[in-house]
Amino acid sequence: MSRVRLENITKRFGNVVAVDNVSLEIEKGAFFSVVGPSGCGKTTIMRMMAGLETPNAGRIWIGDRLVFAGDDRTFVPPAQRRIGMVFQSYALWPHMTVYENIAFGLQVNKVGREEIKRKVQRVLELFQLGNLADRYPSELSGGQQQRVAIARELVAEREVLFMDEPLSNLDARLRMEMRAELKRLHAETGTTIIYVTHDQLEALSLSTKIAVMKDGRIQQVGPPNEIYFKPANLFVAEFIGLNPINTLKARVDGNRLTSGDVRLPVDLEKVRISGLHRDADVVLAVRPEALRLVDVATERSLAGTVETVLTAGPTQLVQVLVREKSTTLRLTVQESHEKQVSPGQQVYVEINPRDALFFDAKSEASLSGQWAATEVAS
Amino acid sequence: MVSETPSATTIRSSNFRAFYNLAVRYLTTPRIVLGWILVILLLYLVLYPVVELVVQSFQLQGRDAIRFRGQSAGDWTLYYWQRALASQLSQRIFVRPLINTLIISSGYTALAMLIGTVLAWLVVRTDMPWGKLVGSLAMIPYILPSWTLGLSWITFFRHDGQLHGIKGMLQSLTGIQVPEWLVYGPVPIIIVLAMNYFAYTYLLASAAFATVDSSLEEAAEIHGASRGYILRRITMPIILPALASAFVLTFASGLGTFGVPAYLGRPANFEVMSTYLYGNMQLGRTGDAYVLATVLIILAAITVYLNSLILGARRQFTTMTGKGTRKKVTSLGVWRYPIGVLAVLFTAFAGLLPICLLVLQSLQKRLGDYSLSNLTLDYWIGKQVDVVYKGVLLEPRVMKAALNTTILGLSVGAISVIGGLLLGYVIARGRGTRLSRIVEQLSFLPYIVPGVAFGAMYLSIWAVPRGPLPALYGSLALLILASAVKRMPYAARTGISTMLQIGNELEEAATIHGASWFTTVRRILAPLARHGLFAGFILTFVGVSKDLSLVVMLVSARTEVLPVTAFGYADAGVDQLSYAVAVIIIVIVLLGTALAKKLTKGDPMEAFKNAGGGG
Repeated sequence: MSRVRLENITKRFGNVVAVDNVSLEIEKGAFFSVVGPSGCGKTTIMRMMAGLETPNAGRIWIGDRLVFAGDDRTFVPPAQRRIGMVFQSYALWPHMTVYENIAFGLQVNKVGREEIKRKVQRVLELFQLGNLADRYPSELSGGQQQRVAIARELVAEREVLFMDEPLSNLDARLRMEMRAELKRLHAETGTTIIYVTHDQLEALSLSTKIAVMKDGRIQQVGPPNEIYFKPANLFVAEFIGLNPINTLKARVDGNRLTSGDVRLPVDLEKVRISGLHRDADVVLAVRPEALRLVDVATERSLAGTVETVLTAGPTQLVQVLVREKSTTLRLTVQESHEKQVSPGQQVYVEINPRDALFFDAKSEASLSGQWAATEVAS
Repeated sequence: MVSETPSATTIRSSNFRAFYNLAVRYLTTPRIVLGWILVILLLYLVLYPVVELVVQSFQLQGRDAIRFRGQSAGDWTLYYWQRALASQLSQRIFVRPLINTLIISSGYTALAMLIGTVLAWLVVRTDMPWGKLVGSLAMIPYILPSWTLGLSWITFFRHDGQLHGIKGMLQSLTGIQVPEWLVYGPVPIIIVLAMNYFAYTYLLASAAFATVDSSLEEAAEIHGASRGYILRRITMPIILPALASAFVLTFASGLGTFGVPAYLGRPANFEVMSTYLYGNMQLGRTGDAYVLATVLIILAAITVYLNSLILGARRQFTTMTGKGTRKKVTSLGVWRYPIGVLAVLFTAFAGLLPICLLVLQSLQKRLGDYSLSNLTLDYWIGKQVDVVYKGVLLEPRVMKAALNTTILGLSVGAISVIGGLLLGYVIARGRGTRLSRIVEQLSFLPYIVPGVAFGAMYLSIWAVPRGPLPALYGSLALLILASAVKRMPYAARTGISTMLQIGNELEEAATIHGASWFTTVRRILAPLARHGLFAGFILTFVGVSKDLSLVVMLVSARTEVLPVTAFGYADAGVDQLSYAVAVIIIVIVLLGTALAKKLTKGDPMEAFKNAGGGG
């Protein structure tokens, strides 16, 4: 049974369509992330689910309850949706102590004094905030504030918890720690978490499922590995990934694959391609970490010259220029730091056909096999 | 119904349900419900009086009806406008006061701009010493009621060659007898109002100077531009919009000022529109008064419109860089200390001397005698200092006025704080919606109705029962209502900035936890806003207790407030009592402003924004 369901949700701000006919199903207990560049509508979607924003059309269910319907203007106010929300700014009330912040929701809902004390005490311990109960938010570090913000929502025991870029105000190190803490929390409480972030690495490492958005539309929904290894379109391939993916405009001509004057050494028999016609314009995308530098030419390799080498700890990114007549291709290869390369050196770049992703040049939709059609949301 | 097809019934019932759900939604959204309540209130208290005032200027007034056979009060007529614009009398009753008003307003505005800009430049962009002291001293004449500056001007410059023949301080100390035009008339009015307002320009100009990034000037310097050339081609054009805005706003706020022209102009038969309007109302010539008030409103509206043009077109310059840019100061060389001394002396003269003069004169047995043996506390605590009066601290009239002032200040303060918070809530939380814009514009409207015109308007409108309000003539409620509405633009502005400071998410977080709107206001919004609101309360109290222009026409013997008492004493010729009352008001003003400044912690702009002007 799905916990949260969106059906054909549309939201306009003036003439701008922020969310365009989006449908989603989020299962109970999921850690569901919505990622996308800024302005793609991901925060708006979350605010509509929480009831802080009203869609122009569509329906929203939380659990079995219809909380919004565009046709008869059904609208259940946020307070009655039984949800929690962690804001990007944390929205800790600055005039209340940590204890008062956490107890607020219980007090408002007329929970008995003793019970409030017991419940607050329990989450304070869960988050190791016990000794900070009497502090004011301004006296806490960023990580502590963030923990209070989550504790405040958890104490209300809501079944769906929304989080809007909760880690974006923390420094890199703290962010890593909080990621682990969030994952542990999700495992321990079983709460359905709906998480909005522009940081795709965060989404990849935390989520059970990810929705990628662009321009108000869902581009792909799926588990992190599927999003990473089987992107539904070129946008998802370019947006997700540790390093920018290599893309080459190419042409299928019989069994040959060419990019300009360069013949690409990809054996089309060995890639899984559906709907690829002879004489088709495509985009070939390969992640830098899927490419390899080899010393001798093979049938899978391209000859090129090392242009620049960017070293970062255990890995290095090697940019290789491939020249053939009037065509110049630039490929980025991720290599281990042990590989000896220097600018100007002659190298061979090897492409494994199973790592090659193909997209239609015009529609930019994936051509690479069965996953494309099934997992993309309508 | 029976004949309808099932599908039509479903459509209809679903339409009805949609309407019902939407209605419930609107009626449970505080921002919207509150917004419409405020719109209705504002239409009733602001827009309606303005329209009514203009309409009345085209209607035959009761006392004139007998002169026109076959016509009765309320008939449409162009009589008053024709009298003002195209009759033998128009020179005296309209053209002259209008020209005088324009002369006074342009004169003091130009002078205030000059002083304010030069001081701002000296303090912000040169190595002149004691800049901080100069900045603080400059605030004093700004927060004093302007009419107290007028009073002290007289006590300084008057001489025994005049009708009453009292020596002013200048003559007593030096024997100099200044010419008559320097004691009464347009020249002293312009100077005194400039003293009152230059701090406003100073605040705006110093903020503008502070936002000009030195690197812009340094870039020009590297290109070989001279210092004068840089000032002329780089610095001034950048701060020009801010200065132009200061000019227009200073000009507009002087249009309806009453106290200074009344104290300094009337003895020389120099009438401006505000004093002439007052005279008309006193004499019951309401038709003429409404014409003058309408013209005053039009003038103020034009200046405010000009201001929006200036800001709309060129605002981007001054907000180009944020705070914290490095400032390079110009060296004044050997003139550094002389100019510093001059600046301190000037600001002290403008701010402290009037206070000292008024205190001193309230202690003099006989005015003009500056010997120690002439000092007395009689005018403060004497049992009988004149035929009918006691010292101000024992005088029932003053006590009554002090009580009225307190009630007025507390009520208007409370209304402003609550009203400002509600206005701010509706305007700030609804940003971008039509409702928010309507409320914002309506709440700004009182700003363009000059004080005296506003008083005349409220006197004529609410003296008789209209709608749910009973006749308010002669009641303190009329003063409270008028002052609260007149101060609404400031209250709204404070409310908006307060609400903008309290992030939306703090409120949304409470809503999600199930807090009702009232709980959210009580437990989140009000506690977070309390410092700002309390400061706003005090500043409103201060502003109301020093204001003369608005209330001078609205008070009756029972509802007199302190500034009017001082005005009355001066009118009756018991000057020391008038000075003593002025001193009481000055103490209230200084203490209140200091307290508010402390509450808004180190943000003098915030504290003074609402404090100055008027009176």
